[in-house]
Amino acid sequence: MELSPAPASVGRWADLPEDIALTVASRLQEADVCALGGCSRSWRTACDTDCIWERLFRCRWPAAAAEAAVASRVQGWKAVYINQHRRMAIAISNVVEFVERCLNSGSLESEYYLKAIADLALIADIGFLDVQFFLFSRNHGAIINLIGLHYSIASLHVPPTEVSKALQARQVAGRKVCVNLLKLGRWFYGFRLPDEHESRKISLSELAMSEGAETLAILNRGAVHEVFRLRISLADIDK
Amino acid sequence: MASAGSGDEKAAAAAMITLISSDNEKFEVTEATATLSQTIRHMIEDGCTDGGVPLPNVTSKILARVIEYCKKHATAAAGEEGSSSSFSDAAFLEVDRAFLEELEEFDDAFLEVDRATLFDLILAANYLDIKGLLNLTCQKVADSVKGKTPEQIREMYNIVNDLTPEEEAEIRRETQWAFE
Repeated sequence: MELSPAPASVGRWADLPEDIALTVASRLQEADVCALGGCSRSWRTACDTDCIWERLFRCRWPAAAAEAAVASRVQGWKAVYINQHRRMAIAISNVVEFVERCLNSGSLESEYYLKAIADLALIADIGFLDVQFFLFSRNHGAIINLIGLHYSIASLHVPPTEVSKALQARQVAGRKVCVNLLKLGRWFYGFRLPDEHESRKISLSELAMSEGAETLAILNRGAVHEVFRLRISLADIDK
Repeated sequence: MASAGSGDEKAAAAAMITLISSDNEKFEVTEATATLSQTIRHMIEDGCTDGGVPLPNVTSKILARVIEYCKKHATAAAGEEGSSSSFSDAAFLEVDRAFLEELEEFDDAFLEVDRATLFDLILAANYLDIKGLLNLTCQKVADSVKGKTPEQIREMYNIVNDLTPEEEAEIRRETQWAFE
């Protein structure tokens, strides 16, 4: 009954039953699904299946899934997924471009910083995976990464450990930013002391964890109370 | 899980089933172990297990490993049932957690096999319809693929590239967005 015992598994993985190929593919994220689908014809078929992309879509944009289901009947889930991805890319790159226009020799004033975060919140269906894709990219500077981090924790309420993991995965966790605070000088026996300047250098991974909570709270508040100017700049001389 | 009376359960646990591998080796297992396989469970329900269950798709080497998995997980399932029926006080939870940890360690060690064996285990789990084992082995394959390029995956699993250069270029174009 049994065929040759096939000690070397040459070619055997190519004839994996399709439902098993699907089980494997359904445990992967988009980039890995795409890589696996580039291996051979049979893997390509398995990785292009509707159910794989429907799962990825529902997981990434749960609120948009009902509407997408209608479109998927004509285009298939993969195409629907990629279209939505492109839409997100455009919407988020508008925010990124805004921030880049507002940068003044590498520094960003807090009102623009907070405006960018508020603009992100206006994008329909934006989720943590979108932040990871488009804002935690190494192609952007640490300030853009920081905006993604801040938005994830403050608006999307992603647990800081998850944010930290994502920063590591995208290889931006070690990037440092510098938060500069200008405080009004205190009054002392009728004299006003010079304005105080404080700057904190902190890495993105520290900002995501408890040691960064205070700095994040200051950023969230912006330039108010005794702090009359708040700027964010890059701290690392990039290697 | 069929919620038979506890008396039946005990009788079932004691019943033995003989499994026969493709190379004619016989394995005696308890019914509780064997019924982790839905395929065998259905055979038992249909009453066609007298004289042993022939499994022409599974070699003795693989069957022995599959049984090892089922034995461990059958005891785990039994333990779980036991604890859920009693008061779940702290001591019980503690025992549960220790047991789950042990089970996880067992699973990790169980997966320390070469790729050919892993492949056979997947096929056996699929054929015997053992959900837990199929999940475990497929997850192992999925984990090994993470972060790899198509070339690396092909090399790892000896997958023959039957795509034409044009198709490959098309796939690259189609999937570029995922790697930006």
